[in-house]
Amino acid sequence: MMDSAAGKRRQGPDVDVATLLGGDYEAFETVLSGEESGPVAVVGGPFSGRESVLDRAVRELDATRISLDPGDGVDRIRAKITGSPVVIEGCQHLYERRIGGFEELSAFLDDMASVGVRVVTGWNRYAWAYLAAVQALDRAFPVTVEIQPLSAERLAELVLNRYDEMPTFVADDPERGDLTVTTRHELGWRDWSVSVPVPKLDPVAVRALFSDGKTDPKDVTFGRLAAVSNGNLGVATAIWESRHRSEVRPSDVAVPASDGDLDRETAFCLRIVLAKERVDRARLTDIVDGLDRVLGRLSRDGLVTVEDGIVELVPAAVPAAAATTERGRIL
Amino acid sequence: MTTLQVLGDLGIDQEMLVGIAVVLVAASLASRVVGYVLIAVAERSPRQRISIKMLVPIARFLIYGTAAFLILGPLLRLTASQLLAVSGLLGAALGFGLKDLFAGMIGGLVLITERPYQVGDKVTIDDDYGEVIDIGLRATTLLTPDDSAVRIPNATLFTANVSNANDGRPEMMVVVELAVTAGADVGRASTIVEEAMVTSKYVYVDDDHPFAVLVEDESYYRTIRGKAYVADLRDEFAFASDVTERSMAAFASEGIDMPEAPVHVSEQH
Repeated sequence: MMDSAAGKRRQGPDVDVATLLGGDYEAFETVLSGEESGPVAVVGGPFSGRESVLDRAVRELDATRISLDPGDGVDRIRAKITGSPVVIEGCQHLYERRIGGFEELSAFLDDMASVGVRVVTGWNRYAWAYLAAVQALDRAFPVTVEIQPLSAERLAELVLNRYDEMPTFVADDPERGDLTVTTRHELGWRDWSVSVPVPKLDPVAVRALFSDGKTDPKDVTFGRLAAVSNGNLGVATAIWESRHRSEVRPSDVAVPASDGDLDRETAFCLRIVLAKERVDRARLTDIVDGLDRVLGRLSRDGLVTVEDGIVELVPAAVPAAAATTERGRIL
Repeated sequence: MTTLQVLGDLGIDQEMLVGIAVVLVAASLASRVVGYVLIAVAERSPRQRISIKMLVPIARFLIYGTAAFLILGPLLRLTASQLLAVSGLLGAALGFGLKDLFAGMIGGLVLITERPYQVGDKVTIDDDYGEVIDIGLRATTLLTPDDSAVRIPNATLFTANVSNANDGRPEMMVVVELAVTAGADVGRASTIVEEAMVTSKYVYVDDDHPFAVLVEDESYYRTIRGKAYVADLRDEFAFASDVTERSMAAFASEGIDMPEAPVHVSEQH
């Protein structure tokens, strides 16, 4: 089953833009038809399918596509502007979280205000939220469309469509005590501390319990997958691929969680990676204190990978990374 | 006449004394347990931290109030002459020795009802500045930036000015001041301070928590005052230090001169 699906996995899920954009699809259509002028921002979470929306813009506008990588600046964009429409992917790489780190972004916004071609840009939603707060980025874009969370049914359709063979969905055994999920919390008193398991009710499992066993385990599984991935297709697919076997139970769907709260420095580094998805390790050195230890901790917790000088967000870890950094209220 | 005989005349026997001791110990234990649990829960909920901590003094008041009722209930069934004797003793005690304690307790009740500050707030009372870590029956305890615990009688509330930097919210504005020489590029210096603030790991910005940089022209230098919020008021000094340190490094690398002027941090709501 895995081998036969390999080709499809490399291509990524085939999802239509209308589903991804939901209520924003109409605004996107008006941009493509030329009714709306001015630069457009396509905003979405990491791995949520921004590329599919930008692909559609490239096709419809017959545009030049520019994919920005860590370290790329406005010069790379200027070199490709030749008078035809432009679609720019990965605009979150145009800033860095340090003094002087907004110069490329500022130059890019100045260019956009004067350039006479249609521009469609793709942004990570965490970077967008940060830049909207501190640089009023949203005011530079008259049209903003956001990737919407997908429903459990749509996720099930898109994820399972990648495989030739369907797994067998099996209901969780009620006696296994799967009504609860257990998380660990640190309790401390003066110099003494202990990690205590705290059980919480799993709402999906509780609903299944009161449905007299009529709930399809497949629905419960994908309901849970939609909940943990916040309807993010890329995240849901990554969690699915790491967890599913020939026989799948709802309780198999789980998110890798960091063991305990991260300290401020580690959470700050994680927030940067969450907002940029891929970061040049050398660029983090001046921003994060004790970078080696911080990245070691994040790697051990399965939140990021560090390879060839690039720190990359792990798709299945996006929910944990978002929850951890939002608990610390890091912008 | 021995003490036991006096107590016996007041209707307080040995069994009642044991009961009073049990109630006091139970109240003390309950107060500690409830306080510990509420604080542990508060620390797990950054957004609700101060609201939950505010419940600690209320819970303690309720626990000790219940204990007082359980103890005094049987005692209040006094004869007219006993009531007169107890009233006289209480009046004399309040007049001579317990006046301040009584005023402190009334001040504590006012704190609960009017809430000029709550546990977790950063306040200035007279000349003392710090985080409110406890509101007791008699006094409020502040933890100063130097880690000293200052106990301020609740009765002070009636006469002192109270300045509250965050008014029950976890966010708090921090003001960072840096000075540059009159000949320095003040526009670039302002941009550096602004970028130092908004790139800090401690900063919190949204529509309700904006940031700003102001420039003031002094006689021989210019003061750049950066104002921004921190997500957690306990990061006040870490944020100020982070912004100051990185701004000064950027000033040095860009040739922006700073005069020999004191740089200080103030805080305001």
